[in-house]
Amino acid sequence: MKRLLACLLLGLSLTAATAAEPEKSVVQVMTFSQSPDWMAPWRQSQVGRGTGTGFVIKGKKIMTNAHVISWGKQILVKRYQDPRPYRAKVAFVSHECDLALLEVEDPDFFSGMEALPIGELPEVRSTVTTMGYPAGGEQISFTRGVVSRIEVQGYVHMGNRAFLTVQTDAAINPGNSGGPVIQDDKVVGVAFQGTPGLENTGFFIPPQIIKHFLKDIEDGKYDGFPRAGISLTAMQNPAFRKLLKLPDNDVGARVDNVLPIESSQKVLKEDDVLLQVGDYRVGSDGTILYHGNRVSLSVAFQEPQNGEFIPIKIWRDGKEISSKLQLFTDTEDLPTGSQYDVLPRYYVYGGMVFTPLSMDYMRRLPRVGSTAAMLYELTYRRREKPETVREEPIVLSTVMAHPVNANLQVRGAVLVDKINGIKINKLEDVIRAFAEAKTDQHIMEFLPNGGFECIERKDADAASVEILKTYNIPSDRRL
Amino acid sequence: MKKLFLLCLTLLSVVSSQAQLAHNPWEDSIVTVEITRQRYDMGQPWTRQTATDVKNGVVIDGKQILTTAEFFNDVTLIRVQRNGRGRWWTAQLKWADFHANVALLTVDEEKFWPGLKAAKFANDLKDLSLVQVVRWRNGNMESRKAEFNEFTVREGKVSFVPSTSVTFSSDIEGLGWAEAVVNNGKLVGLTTSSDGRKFNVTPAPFFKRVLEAQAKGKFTGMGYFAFTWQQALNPDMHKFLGWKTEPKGVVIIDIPPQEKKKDGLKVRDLILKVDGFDIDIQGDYLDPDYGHLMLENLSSRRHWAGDTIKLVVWREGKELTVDYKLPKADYGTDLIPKEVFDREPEYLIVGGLLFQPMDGAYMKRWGADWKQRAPFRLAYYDNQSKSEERAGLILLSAILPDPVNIGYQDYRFIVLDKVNGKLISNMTDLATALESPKDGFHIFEYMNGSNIQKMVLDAAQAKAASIRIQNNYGIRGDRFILPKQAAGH
Repeated sequence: MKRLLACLLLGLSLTAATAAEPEKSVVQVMTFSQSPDWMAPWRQSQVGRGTGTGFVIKGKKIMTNAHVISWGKQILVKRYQDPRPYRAKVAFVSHECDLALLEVEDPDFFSGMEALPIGELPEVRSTVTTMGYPAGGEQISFTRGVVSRIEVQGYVHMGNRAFLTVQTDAAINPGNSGGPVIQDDKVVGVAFQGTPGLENTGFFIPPQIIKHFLKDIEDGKYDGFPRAGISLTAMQNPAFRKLLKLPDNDVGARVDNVLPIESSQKVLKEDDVLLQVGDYRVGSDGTILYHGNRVSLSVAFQEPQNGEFIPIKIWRDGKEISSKLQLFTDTEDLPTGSQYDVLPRYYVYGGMVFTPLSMDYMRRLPRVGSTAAMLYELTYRRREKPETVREEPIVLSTVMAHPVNANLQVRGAVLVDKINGIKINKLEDVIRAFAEAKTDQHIMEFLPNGGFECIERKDADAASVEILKTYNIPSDRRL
Repeated sequence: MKKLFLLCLTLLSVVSSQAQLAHNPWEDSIVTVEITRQRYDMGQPWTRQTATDVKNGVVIDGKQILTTAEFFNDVTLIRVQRNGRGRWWTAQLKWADFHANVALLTVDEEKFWPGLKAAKFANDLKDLSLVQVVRWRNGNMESRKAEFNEFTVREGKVSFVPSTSVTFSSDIEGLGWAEAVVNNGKLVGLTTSSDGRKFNVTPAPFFKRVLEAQAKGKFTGMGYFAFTWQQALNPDMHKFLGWKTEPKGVVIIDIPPQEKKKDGLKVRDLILKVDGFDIDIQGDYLDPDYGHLMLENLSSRRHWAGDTIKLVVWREGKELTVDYKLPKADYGTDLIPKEVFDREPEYLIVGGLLFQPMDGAYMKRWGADWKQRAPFRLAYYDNQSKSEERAGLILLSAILPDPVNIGYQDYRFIVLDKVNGKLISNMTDLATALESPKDGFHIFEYMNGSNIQKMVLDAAQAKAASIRIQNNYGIRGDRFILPKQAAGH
């Protein structure tokens, strides 16, 4: 009887203590992953093992970083001071803001763990504590520091996105990723990246981004953060202000360029000056005052969800006008950053491997003359000559040697222009161009110099199966 | 004591071996050449520095010194020295061609010449078994053995035009500065470049041809083939082109806009013969003097710019003969001119905005390999061609901070599209456009995709700021713009 009482008490104290002991809701995440080989897209890398941190939030989910679980084949989570590993799977992921939510099949996993509440943006100079399972030991580790500054920074997981970020001098090391940053028993951030070479600088994802992600997925699907589709420049030159008849003060940033996005082009044009976006006055340097911090105006455009409107005030033709801008997420630039979840598309014909041009592919190439044309195609054409953009530029990535293709002089790493006279706008065009050919030979034309190659149609058809077998390629395509 | 004795012995042996040195006849023909030239700082084009380089020359008939043309641009002083020591003599540049990489010097002072002997050119390069490289080194003639590697065709050291080159290897270091390569008392060629133990030599028969043509006033410049071709190693390509017999020739894949003529070459022509020589599927012909060489060499083997060469091509099932007029090698053919020689760098400053032409001289700020090292977008313009409306590019290269340009000070390395509504191809366009501000404003528009596409300055305030900016930054003049013709526009 006495023993039982003691147990109960302990149990009670456990329950009561959870809120004040957030570490009990912090878990270790182990991921066994395999990433694709972008040069030979049917192949995958050797299984890698990585560890990170996660924490329990409401709805029996574990929040962690996207980069902790990306390309995961198996994800295991371990509770605080519990030796058992539990299997987890990804429920939602946002690669752009580097957040993921995990589910655990075993309902026992969550027993005794309280969801950590998400707090508000911490103030600069206030103290925060990080919790996680960084390298250098097995047990949970705590570090404490101050909030050093708050501004927009690049999120390196995808590499082509920037969001609000909080910098702290609390140590954030590999393994800390996905761990909570705590202030007053609430989560005020998710630790996610550091800067090599800088001391005492760690970065965490602030509550605004976390909450945006959580709200986004309420409908069961992730859409992402919207973008205004404009380039803005500071409006600090007195002559330019005078030309636009803009009052001589510190308000307004100029629209320098509007991307070919219908919703943006409908509302905004070049030389409009943005005076207010949502609740924020726009400074003449293109920043807004956000919870006491001067941050990039992009933060205001990232607040709404995909498809929502944001009220704006603009200065046009010497007058202030009010309007609203509908904001959408942008997926067209995905190939310019690191991509996840979806294995690369490819098609192999006659030993020739065709795959979409992407930064993931380009990173594996040495920088040579032909890669300049690829880099231009991938990152500059859309801004400079939007009318000439191809939906999905295709490269002949490599040629798997076989007598049928042995005489081809092009051995890969070239952009494909046309096949049998058909302009190649996407991978499906490649398949169609080969399949519909009527002539004895296939003619492939390449960019940028007009080089071309010929291959016998019947021989290539006949050799295709054998080539797949020789090189152990499971399928001639992944679409 | 023993050590001292040894030292004495060593010294003695050096002295005695020097005493035994025989006179090398090349001592009377090889001179040292010192060139001082203007070197412009493209970051501050109004400043001047000088650079001095030393290379080699060979005395030839007519009281002339033959050397390579490299470094003979923007020259302020040339001096030569005989015997590898002693007095330097002022020399004059008689003639130079950078694409041929040939320069001729002379010395007006008669006292320079007695004792010097004109070198004899080798007529051919059939026997290269006893080749030596000779040069002055610390007052003594250095003569080292070299081994022949191969005849090849390579781009000039300061030109994009390919011509015959001979590769040798040797233990001698630091070659490439017109050192004489000799054999059996005759000049085999002058070095142009080196890479480790290997070095490249322009053969003497080429120099002879250039000098003879030049002396007769018939040297019209180096010609070249402006089209791009690809090898036809793939037999399926011949089938595609309808060529049924033994594969030969290479395929034209690109022709620059200025060469697209009705009766000229066409893309997908199979080039069978050039100037009477059969072309194989690798793009080589059999040169009677040097063996298999790339067809590119035929533009200079026995022709100069402006000559017409007969090309036999296979087009749509028929053999045709096309007369190809060799274009003259010109650095200015490209959108980014490859080199700018003997011209002061142009610039214009307005309201602290520094504009400069985008050319090879400017791009070398990022080094000789600027195509790899310059900001990607700038370097990529080299892949783009001139168009009818735009023959060149003007760059905002820097901003000299001043109250008139507040708000712009962090921008640079962006290319101008229009100023005050007028399209800008050269510095004269820019200066002219700035004479017509729009309602008192200068409006600068940059190329689509630049990280800023528009800047505005108050024209009157920019003008008023001009002297202030020049004084503040120590600049002599707000511009240097060449007369239109001299600028090559």
